[in-house]
Amino acid sequence: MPDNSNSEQNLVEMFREAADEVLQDKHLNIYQETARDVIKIERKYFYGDANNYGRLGEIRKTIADKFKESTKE
Amino acid sequence: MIINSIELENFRSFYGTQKIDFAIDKIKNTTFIWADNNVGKTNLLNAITWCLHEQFTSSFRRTDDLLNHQAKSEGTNSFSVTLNFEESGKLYSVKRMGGSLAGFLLHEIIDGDYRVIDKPLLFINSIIPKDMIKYFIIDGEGISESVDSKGQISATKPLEDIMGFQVAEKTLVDLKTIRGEHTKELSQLDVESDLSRVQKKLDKLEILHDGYQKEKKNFEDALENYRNSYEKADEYLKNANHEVVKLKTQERDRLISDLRSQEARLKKYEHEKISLIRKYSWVAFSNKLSNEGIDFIDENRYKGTIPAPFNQSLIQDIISDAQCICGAEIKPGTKAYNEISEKLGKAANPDILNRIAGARSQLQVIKSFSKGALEDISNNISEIRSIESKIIDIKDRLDEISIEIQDVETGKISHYESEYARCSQQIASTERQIGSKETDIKYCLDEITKLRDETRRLSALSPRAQAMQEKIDFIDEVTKVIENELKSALDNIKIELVSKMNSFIKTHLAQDLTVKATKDLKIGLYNNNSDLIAPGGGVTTMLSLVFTSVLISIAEIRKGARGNILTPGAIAPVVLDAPFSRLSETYAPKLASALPPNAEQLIIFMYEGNAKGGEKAIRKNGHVGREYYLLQQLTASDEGKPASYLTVGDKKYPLNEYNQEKDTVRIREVSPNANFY
Repeated sequence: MPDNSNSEQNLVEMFREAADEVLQDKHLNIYQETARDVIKIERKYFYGDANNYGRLGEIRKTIADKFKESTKE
Repeated sequence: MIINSIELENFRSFYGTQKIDFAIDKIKNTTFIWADNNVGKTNLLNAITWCLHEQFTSSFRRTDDLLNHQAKSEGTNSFSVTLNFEESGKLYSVKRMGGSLAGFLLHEIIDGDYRVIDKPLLFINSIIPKDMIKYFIIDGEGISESVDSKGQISATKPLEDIMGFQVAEKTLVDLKTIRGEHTKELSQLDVESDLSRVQKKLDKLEILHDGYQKEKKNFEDALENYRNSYEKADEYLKNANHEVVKLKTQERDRLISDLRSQEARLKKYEHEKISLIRKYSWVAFSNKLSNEGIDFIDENRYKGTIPAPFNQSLIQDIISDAQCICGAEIKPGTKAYNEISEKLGKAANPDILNRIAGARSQLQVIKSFSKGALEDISNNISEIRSIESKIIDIKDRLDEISIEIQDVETGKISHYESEYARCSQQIASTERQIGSKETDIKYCLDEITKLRDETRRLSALSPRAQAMQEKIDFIDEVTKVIENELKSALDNIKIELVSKMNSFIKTHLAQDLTVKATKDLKIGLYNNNSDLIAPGGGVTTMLSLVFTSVLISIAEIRKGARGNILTPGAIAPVVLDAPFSRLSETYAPKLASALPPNAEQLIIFMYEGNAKGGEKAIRKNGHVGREYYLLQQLTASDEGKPASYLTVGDKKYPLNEYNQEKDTVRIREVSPNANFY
């Protein structure tokens, strides 16, 4: 079985979105956070191996979740 | 990313398996690859871009014909390129296969073991994004093709690419799609018919707005093409070796300059006309009113009639006291009493008198103001007419010049002149169309804003609609975050780009040249008199190479970016095809000295005789780590063709061999022991 952890880890490193940096992003407001998360999805499909079928669905879900989060605040 | 080696297997002109080990030392970071023209430099360069991203440079032809013909004739039906590279201290091997065994494999190499990385594309893009690679790996044509006929580079697109705008822009498109889904849903809420109606209207307007934007963009692209053709034709005519044409084009230049100044004056007077109308409109109205409505105040015409010249309180006193001011008794019922009482109805009261005095004084102001207004407006109108007439004369003369040039009995001149005239008309008409689209877009945006406010108001009446509207507003806010980031990133990088290019030029190339950027981010080189330097004479290539070098340095700096919105940059080898060939012998060595220290790894393709001292400068500074040449082997006989050799130091290497068993290109290493000096 291929070890995926290395690939995932490098992705995180390369795009400078490592966990510690996400923590540093605490000051981001909900719109900025959503923009960042949607861009991440877009980047995964734009640069990645996956076909584009799931892209809009993932973005819709992210927006719905973040919107829900925003209404609770 | 540092590329350690490349292995080619039956890729284009490279038969069998062939390998190059690149220079990877920090100082000796440059690899030279020598070859005659049309032997395999472009194939080798494209082997790298194909392996990483399945991309090709613009000069690479027959992209579906990658299998080596010799191998194909022997029954082989697959080919591949493998790159072994280092990234962040780890070793990787990436292999792309084409033909019957097509595929893409990426391994991390740990102690000689190959560990598969399961999302190879994503991983490779995280190292060198596909939208940035063309700025690192540039073929010969690519170096100067970015410079336009004026000698300027349009920097917007490269800067956007190097900062990863493509992903952000795709995100904006997707957000718009999702927003559209929600607004459609909102319009289908049958509980609120008004809301549905407004939302449908809004949808239509948004579609209209997008259509106008696209049309405007198409017009702008067309305008750019017309301008380029116009400039090309103008350039040809100005440099045409024909006395009449020279004189006519000189006259035309003067007239165009005059036309522009007259048009600017016309604009100024038209603005002034608007100001005058604003300033004097009330005077015109009041003047008309005074002439037609309140002329009764004119004392000369109506003196002694209305109002009567009797003071109301005086008459009232006489009547109430029943005594005249002369002492005579005025008893009620007498003739005198009745006559005086009758006058009371016509007597003036002090309030009315004051008002009349005020009105009279105001009328004087209006009258004196209207004299000035008439004079100012007449002057303005006459000036506008005079300028318009001058403009018509200039345009007529320009048309005549065009016909006179077209009548010159030289086919090419006539052709370029008619092209000049055609483009000139197209430019004017396209500019008008752009202006009209801008008006349409502004109208749409104003209406959209109003309707969005209306939608919000109506949505508030239904909880379901309100929730939907809030979600739409949420998407709008997210969109704004991305749009603002793109705008501010581009604004900041513009300043950075020009400053870095100037620093590069002053440090390495010339003190008397300065890079400036226009508003629409066209970068050009200017001399001490602030004149834009025309392309040619190596300046084009120099500007392009400096621009590329600075772009790459921006990408390198941005590798550390957090990447919330924009894709982080990259560090990758810089691969250049014959970079010095179009440079002057003054600038080639200077630029060559500057390139290796400004790149992590440099791979330069050259053919003998085009190095212009660039090769020597790199060698002298100790940056050459590896050196190869491409040997062309042909089955054909030489038929008296002279043999081609590469001379490096004191050694000679053949670049072609005839009467060989197979047609192929062999990669051979230049002896590292060659004595260069």
